[in-house]
Amino acid sequence: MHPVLTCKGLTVTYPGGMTPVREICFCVKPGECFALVGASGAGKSTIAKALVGLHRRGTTVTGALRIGGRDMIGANRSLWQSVRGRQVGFVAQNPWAACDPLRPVRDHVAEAWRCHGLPVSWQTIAARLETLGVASAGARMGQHPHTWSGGMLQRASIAAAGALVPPLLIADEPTSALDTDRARSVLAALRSLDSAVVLISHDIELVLRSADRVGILHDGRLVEHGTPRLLRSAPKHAETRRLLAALAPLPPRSNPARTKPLLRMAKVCARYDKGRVTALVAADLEIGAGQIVGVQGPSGCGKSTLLRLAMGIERPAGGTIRRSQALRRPGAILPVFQDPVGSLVPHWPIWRSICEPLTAPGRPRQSFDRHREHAYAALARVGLGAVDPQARPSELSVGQCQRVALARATIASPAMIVADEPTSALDSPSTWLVSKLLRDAAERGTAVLVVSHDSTFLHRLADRVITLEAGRTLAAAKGD
Amino acid sequence: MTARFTGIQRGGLLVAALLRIGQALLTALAASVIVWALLPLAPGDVARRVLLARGMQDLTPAEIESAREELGLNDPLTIQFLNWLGGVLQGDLGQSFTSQAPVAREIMERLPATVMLLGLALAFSIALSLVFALIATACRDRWPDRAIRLYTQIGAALPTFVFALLALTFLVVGFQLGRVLADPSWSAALIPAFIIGLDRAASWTQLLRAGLLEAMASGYAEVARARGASERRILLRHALPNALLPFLTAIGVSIGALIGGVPLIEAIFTWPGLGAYLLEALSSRNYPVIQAYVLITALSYVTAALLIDLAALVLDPRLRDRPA
Amino acid sequence: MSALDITRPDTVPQAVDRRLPRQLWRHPSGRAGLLIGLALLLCAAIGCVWTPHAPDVPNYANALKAPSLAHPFGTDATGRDMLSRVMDGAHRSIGAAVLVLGAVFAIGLVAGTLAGLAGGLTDSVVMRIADIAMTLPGLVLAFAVLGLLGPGFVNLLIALIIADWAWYARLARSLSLDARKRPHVIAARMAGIPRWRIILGHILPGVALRVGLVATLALGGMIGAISGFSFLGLGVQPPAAEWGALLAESRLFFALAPWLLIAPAGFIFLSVLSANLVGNALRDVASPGEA
Repeated sequence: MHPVLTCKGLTVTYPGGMTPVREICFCVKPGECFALVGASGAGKSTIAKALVGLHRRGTTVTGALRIGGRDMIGANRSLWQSVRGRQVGFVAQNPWAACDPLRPVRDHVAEAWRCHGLPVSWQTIAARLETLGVASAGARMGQHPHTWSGGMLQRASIAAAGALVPPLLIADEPTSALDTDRARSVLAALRSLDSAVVLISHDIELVLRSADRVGILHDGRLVEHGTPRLLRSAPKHAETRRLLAALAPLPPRSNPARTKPLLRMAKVCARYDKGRVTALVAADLEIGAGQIVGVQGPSGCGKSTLLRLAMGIERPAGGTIRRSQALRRPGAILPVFQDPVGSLVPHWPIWRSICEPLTAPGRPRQSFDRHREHAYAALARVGLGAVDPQARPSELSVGQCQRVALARATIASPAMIVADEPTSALDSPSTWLVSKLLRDAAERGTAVLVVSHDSTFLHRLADRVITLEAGRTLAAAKGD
Repeated sequence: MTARFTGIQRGGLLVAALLRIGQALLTALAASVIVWALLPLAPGDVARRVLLARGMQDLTPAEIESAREELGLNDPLTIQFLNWLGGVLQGDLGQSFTSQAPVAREIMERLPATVMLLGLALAFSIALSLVFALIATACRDRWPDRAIRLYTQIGAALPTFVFALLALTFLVVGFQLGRVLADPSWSAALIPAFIIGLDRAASWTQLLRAGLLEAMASGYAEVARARGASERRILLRHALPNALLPFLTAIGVSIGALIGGVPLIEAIFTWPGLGAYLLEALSSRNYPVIQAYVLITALSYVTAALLIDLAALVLDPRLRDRPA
Repeated sequence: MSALDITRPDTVPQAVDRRLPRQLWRHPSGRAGLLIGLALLLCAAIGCVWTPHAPDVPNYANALKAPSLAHPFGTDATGRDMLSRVMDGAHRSIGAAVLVLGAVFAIGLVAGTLAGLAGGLTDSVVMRIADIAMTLPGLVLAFAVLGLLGPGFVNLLIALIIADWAWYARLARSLSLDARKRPHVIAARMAGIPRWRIILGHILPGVALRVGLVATLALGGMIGAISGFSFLGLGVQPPAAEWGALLAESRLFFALAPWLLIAPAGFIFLSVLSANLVGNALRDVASPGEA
């Protein structure tokens, strides 16, 4: 069988002379799923854009690129227009951004036919949506994109990408805007079309689970490719090993001694908007010193509310919250947030943010220089010894900022750390590092409460994982 | 963006529109309070000014006192305000201090000229900015775009009155393109309106061009491209409607500037409209006229803002579906 | 942003850090804007102490001369050198705009952050007053205040401050409300840092920097607005020179000596241009999400 996509020596050069992608060689056979995985900045999106001819103006693409038997290097605009949609479909990362917000969802799907001048009936669109798992599509598709959920809207995008049954689909991080559970079903929907798929992702775990073949990208080069089994068992390149290390088990827990609970919440409920919106119905939670407790659940299940109650910045509408003496002094609970850059003071050098908890009233007064020394030591502890302590947060990467935030949270040895989706903005290696740092904190006796939609991450990290659904805690599942 | 099914709320548009209209009425009421307050705040005794305006000389304290009583100036302020508001609602804007004529009548004589000039200028600037922005976006970084960008930089940096003054001096008078002293008619308004429109359009083109470029680089444009849509189809079907929304809002804000700039514009074109009337009143401290002018401009500003928000409600489903 | 209204920049810079001055300098339009702005400021400074000719001594023998080496912008109806008049007027035009913007910046920052951080009754009272001030277009409100106070330079400044403060107060309020919800502020609260230290250390610097940048960028537009009022005879009174007043004087002789308009119009143009150029550069370097 002829490959549907052939890349030979594919090189992309930006107007400034930068080459984010160099000498890429791979081909994709009909019906197979070929995944490209790499850290941020490895050139993933650049390849995705080059494969549909959507690079920035002034960019040059050299080498060989054949799609469906046609040579696309140097193809003019009209050739690309006839190939897109018919020979190659495209699924974007964020389903809401991919839809024109002013038009109903059905227009978004119909556009795939109409922009090629082809007629299409609403029945056809509804039927396509139904096969991809959108229930009562006929009634819903007249609604606007912002009223749809991410998983459903991504299915509509997949329907549009596969409208003209192209033999090849390019999917650029199609699931990274979705919860883990939804990501799996959307990926299944993507595979349910008969097209070959080039899946571009930062998530090595997802890729190893679902692709037929995987290519590892590093610094714009395809450093290694093979079947998931082969890569897992015999990784050759250092980058592959680095990415796989993110799957490695964390250092084992020293058996946490049975301690008296620091925080105990029983049948807690919470309401907003003068009682009209109920965020929590009945939540139970118990955590002791040195323990790691994870809270998982889909978006809107009340996770963040539970966290704010635990932090004490909100009061419950009912139920009881008992805090031990150690949790009642100010500075005993320190938070870690989803947005790493925003959690540092933008106009301060990072070392000042780090040592801020040390300067709270009631702490022993220390000289400026002592504080700075502490901050430098804390930076080294989180593996950022080489970073300029005078840098402002906007000069650091997102992953580095989250480690700085962890350095701040741990510097004053708080009784408890509460982390709200600490890894949702990070790539796999950074996620692994953050998990390890949270583990280290727990080993030193700090209680860690983590909320996340990523159940794999939670199960690996936590001693116990609690599931929240529609404002209720389900029976606690034991982690591994 | 909510990730939940909220469904389409029945009558969402109507409710949102009624809310917005109610808000506009409140704003108009607040504006009328400031406008009314101009008179009690004005220095000097109003009763005295009114009597002088009636042509009476050598006023005795008793005469002034009786005039105060007659004008209701001894009533509590709230009563005075309500009386004034009642009068305004019936079209009574008081008497001019200088000419003794009812202000409402004098305003009505001058209003058409101003509306003519402003309306034409607004039409020109919207049309010009639409055309320029679409051309600039379609020919991005080629010579038409560069030329338009140069024009917008210059136009945005010249205050309208300076631009109008230069255009009048060097083009209209220099090349005898039109009469400087003009009676208010549509044809006489054409050149001044075009000059104002050309200047306004510079900054509006910048705004719309930026909006269009942002929309052309957005996720949905990219995806449409990846489906095989042509650039022109993306520009007209997706980018233009999306870019029009912020553009409309920006126009709403600049309409205030346009209205506020009327006295300057009319002074330059010697246009016998409301602005010229205001300048006369300012120099003679003719408070009822100043008051009426502020009232009319405030009401037209509130109305313009209301119309634009209603248009945005109709155009943008996100504004009406979102639960309040 | 053409300046018949009291214009305000249309974007509030987001990502502002210590690299900003260098980033602006590297940006071609930013550098051009900064250079023009500095040149104008220099011109105003020199104009305070020295001008090529006496700016206010009539010399009727020399009236309405066309531009020449001795008088690059010509001479006016009483023979005064236009270049000297414009240089003399620079500190009034620029100074007035700086005064107004400094005042609205200070009032807006204090009122806005107070409202945003105190909340409750303070917030309602301050914001309702601001709302009322914002029901009228800025220029109309300024005309109304001038109508009450009468024409004059000081009255014009008061009118413009009254017309413009509310917008800055609202900006400062929304920025400080936003800052209060930022993760780094919550982290500081949780760490037990006292409220006043959070306000002074975390919230105020960022809010003041952004509001201050916006006010700086509004300088060109404010110079345009002030010259508009002076053009109408409502601001600076003759014989004092100010760019708008100079335009009004020159206008009377536009048939005989149209070149007289060039210098004052050019200086107004350059000051607005410089603010616009820096504003464009700022949007490019400090607004994330835009290429």
